[in-house]
Amino acid sequence: MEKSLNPIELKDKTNELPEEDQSLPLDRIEDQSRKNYFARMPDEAALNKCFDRAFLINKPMGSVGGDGLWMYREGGKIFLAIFNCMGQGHLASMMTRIYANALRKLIAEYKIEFTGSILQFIHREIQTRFKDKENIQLNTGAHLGIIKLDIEERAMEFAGARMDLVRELHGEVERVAGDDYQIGELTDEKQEYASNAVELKPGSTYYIATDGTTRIIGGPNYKRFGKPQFDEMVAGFTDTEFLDRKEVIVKRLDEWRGANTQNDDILVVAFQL
Amino acid sequence: MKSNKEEFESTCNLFINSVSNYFKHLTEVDSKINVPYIKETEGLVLKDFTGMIAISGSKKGFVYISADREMFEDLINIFIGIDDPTKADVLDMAGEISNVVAGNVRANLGTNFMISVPVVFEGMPTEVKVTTEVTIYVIPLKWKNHEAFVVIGLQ
Repeated sequence: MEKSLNPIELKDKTNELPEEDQSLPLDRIEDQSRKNYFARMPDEAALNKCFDRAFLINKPMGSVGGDGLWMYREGGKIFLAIFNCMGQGHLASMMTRIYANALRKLIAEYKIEFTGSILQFIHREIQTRFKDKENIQLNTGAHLGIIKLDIEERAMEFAGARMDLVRELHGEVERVAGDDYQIGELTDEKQEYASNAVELKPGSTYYIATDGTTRIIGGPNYKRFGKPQFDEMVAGFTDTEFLDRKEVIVKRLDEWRGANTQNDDILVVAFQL
Repeated sequence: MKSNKEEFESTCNLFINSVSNYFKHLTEVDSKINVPYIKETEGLVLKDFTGMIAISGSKKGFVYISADREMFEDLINIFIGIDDPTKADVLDMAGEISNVVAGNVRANLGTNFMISVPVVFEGMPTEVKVTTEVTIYVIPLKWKNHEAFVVIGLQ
């Protein structure tokens, strides 16, 4: 019998493994950067403590990525931010921590509450942090969407920097469009972001997705999945149980991608109130 | 046709060039490659933090870059401008450099040379040992005042 072709083997367990399991020996070593990436973001359990029902899809292109989310609750107010830092991989993953820290500082410490103002302050925070840095090897910009939910007042507000909030109710889909420029770029352009009041309609499902979701290339004509198809997909969920929708979205995106390589990080948050 | 030895050396040279180019072009500070050697004793040569990549396809094995925390902190300062990086930043930097170096080698060797995403860890994981079937080539390097190792294990 041929010897195993695997250069790294599991200590003391080598003989217990079938040959096919030994072909990816690095799988058995915990990737600590990946562990950190997922550990510092709220997971589905945390989302479900703040919303009636929620799910999360987070599929970075590699082991880690530039998409992230951050959540904060104080009294009856909940802030949820989804962001997509430019680039992919480990450098973009570092930027997600910088954005999460900026959000924490502005919302938890400085108590800035208007979502549009939060985006403006984050923009300035990132600019200030990086303006004197020369030769940095990453793009400091990001797309970001943030909601503020006031449970006692039954009010919701949304602001977006190249990110939309999608609401589905009885098969009707409405987009609360974010502003058409990202945040954190090191240009001198003055950027302002609108705080949009979102009317809470019972039975609605809300979705926020990073653009990796709609930029997936595939389908019969090798095209982007696109926002219209995303909206059409969620509009068709009227008879689909909330928790089954996650699986349907993942399956639909995978089918669209087919054999093509995933071309961007993907993050989708859905919730009901 | 190249012998196994020549092929192994040629692959190792690609890694040496890739890591040299990484420091030269991205940090504008040349690295100094010290005399590479074949490791004959058991165990891995590891420093504080390591980014390791599995190689499959036309060649089988692994490559990793291992260095002390200070080197990765220096790189983070240059690339991202963070003066006080966390351990998570350092782990990400170890993953980034190993991914770029191996990715550049892959670009030279073609699609039959397949690499995994990096696995990044601190210290020495207890889960692995290297079998004697692997030839391990250790490339010590110095960048600024930091010492690092690029280690290639190929069958």
